[in-house]
Amino acid sequence: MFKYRRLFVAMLVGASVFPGFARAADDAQSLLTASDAVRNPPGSFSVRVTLTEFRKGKQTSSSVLTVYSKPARDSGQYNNLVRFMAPARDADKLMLRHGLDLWFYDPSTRASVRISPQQRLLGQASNGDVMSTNLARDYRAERTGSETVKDGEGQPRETVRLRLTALRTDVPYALVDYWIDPSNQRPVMARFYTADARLLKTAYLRKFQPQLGAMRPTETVIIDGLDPDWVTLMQSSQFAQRDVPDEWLQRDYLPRFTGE
Amino acid sequence: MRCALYACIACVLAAGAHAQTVDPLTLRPDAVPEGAAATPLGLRVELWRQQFDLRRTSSTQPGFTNRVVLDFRHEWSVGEAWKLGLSDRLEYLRTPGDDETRNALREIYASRAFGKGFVDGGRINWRNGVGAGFNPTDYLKRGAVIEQGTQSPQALRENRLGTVMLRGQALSKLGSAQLAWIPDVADAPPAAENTLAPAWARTNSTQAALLKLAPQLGQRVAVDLLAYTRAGERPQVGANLTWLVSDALLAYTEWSGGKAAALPGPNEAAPPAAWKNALAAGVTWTTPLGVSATAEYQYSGEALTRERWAAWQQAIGTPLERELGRLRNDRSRAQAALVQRAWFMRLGWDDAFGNRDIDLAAFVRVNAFDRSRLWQIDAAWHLTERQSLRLIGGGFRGNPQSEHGSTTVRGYGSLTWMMFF
Repeated sequence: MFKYRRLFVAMLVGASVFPGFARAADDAQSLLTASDAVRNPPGSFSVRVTLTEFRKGKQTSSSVLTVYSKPARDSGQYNNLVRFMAPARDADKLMLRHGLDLWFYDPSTRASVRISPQQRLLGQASNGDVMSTNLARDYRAERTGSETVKDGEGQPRETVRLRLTALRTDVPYALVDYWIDPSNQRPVMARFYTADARLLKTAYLRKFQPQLGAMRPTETVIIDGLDPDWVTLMQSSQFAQRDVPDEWLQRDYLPRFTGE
Repeated sequence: MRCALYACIACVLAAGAHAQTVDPLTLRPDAVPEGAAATPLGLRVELWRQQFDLRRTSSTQPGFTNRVVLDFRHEWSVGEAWKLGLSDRLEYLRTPGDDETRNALREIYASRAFGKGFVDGGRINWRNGVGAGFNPTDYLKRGAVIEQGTQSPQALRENRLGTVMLRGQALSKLGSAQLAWIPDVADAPPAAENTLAPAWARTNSTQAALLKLAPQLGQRVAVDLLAYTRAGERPQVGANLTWLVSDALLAYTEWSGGKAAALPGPNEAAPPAAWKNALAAGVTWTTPLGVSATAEYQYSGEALTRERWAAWQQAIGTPLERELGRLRNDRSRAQAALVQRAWFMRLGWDDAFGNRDIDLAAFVRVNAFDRSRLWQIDAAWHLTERQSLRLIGGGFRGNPQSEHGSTTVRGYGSLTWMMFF
């Protein structure tokens, strides 16, 4: 009984003396939401993504994709359809992500095969890196400080650092450190960790350009957490607002897909 | 302890990176990837060298084969509503003392969109099933297989003849419904096939119909329901289920049921048709490194029981062995199991060792009655954006009276160079 009374008193004191705690959390979440809006254009859209991989500073491979994204009504997340454009051996392969539901379509077998989220799409670049995601829906944000960091252009930038903790177990990264420029809500840098705080990758977002009504990052540099010589450059171009019908986002539509 | 180890490794690598003095933020791509601007033609040129290790000399099985292959697939959009598709594989084979040219017209079709519906007509490869090594609901596989240099179930599904059909599909937010009518456009296949002919009879010697419903249920579970009927045969029903158990674990079941006659033993009359089930059930687990491991149990109710297979095994080395050979050929052409129970295991590692240019795969199929095995290892090395090398090695193992230990071929290997246009 005493234990509960002490807890009750602590809650009262906490609520009256430290109301800023709750407000700080709200502010952090709002900043993350605003940053999501910088990364993701509103509504349904398509974007061309070029992935170039480097090892020890030398280019080793590259791929070109077109990503079609549509906000999901129920979850606030995005449903994505990815079309492989190059290299030629992968041309016209498709990947559909409908929440946790992932399907891979190979035109040579004319079959849609279900895969798990762990099955990676493109080497170091995960599905989550390529496809549109709303971090604020999947993570609880906590402000952990203000820092001046080197941004993707190599310039010093004043930022707010957030610690993001996954709200669900089915997201690709359990923990994320996220640096946002508070003056314009632009994401500057991110470090992605496993649940036991092992660094998986570092990402720099840069080359902000006017795309679909706002300044958005058009390049992301992804550096492997264990092997810093393994770098992937993700370039986004050809942003276009476009209708993505619900019928596209199911496995039995994939053989029909033309992108038109 | 593990964190400390990772930290040490990271420090060492970071020190190495520092020594390299390559700032990742300064890296720029060399050039636009090949094919990024233009739509690929869909042509693949393949040069094969296959070598066989034979248990005994055979008049039908050569010791090696050289192949030149032109493999073409393309789909053209005509206006806003029409699509035309063509898929063809032309092969020139050279074996000791012989050569041959073969053509497989896999697909040729026209497709018309009507709002949220589609109608297709022509030869179409409509594949169904979620199993990795056995697909009981893939009703149109019978007779469609094309002889090729791999035993991989995935490759056998890829390189097969389509079926002539008229198919309609309706799509909505609730899912998809498809219904196909399959006409009989040719009589039963002739004993000696013209290797350049379209071989309509292999897929369309009798009328059939296939219905598939694919409702949108949710994120973790996906279900397909199928019904199939063919003239002269009992109707079959089937279902596919996949279940995302966790971020890395996928479970699946593929089932088909219907009345069918079981395979008889030697000198035994064909048993009367009775309800038979066929099933493939398995799990695929993906490791953090990206290796996918699949384990699958396969059951085919109409295939040989343990007792009947044991009786056939006794026939090996007797005049009845020729009958067994015919039975095996029939089942192989139908892509159906010879015995009732089998296990299938597969490992796949795309971008192996973190290298985007290397894909590795291996599988083994085990006859659950006699423990004989068919195995294959497949390594692909993507030399450039357009060229790949592929190395395949495989074998049939078991005692001389087992399913896989009694084959003429003991082992096989091939090296293939592929060029994509």
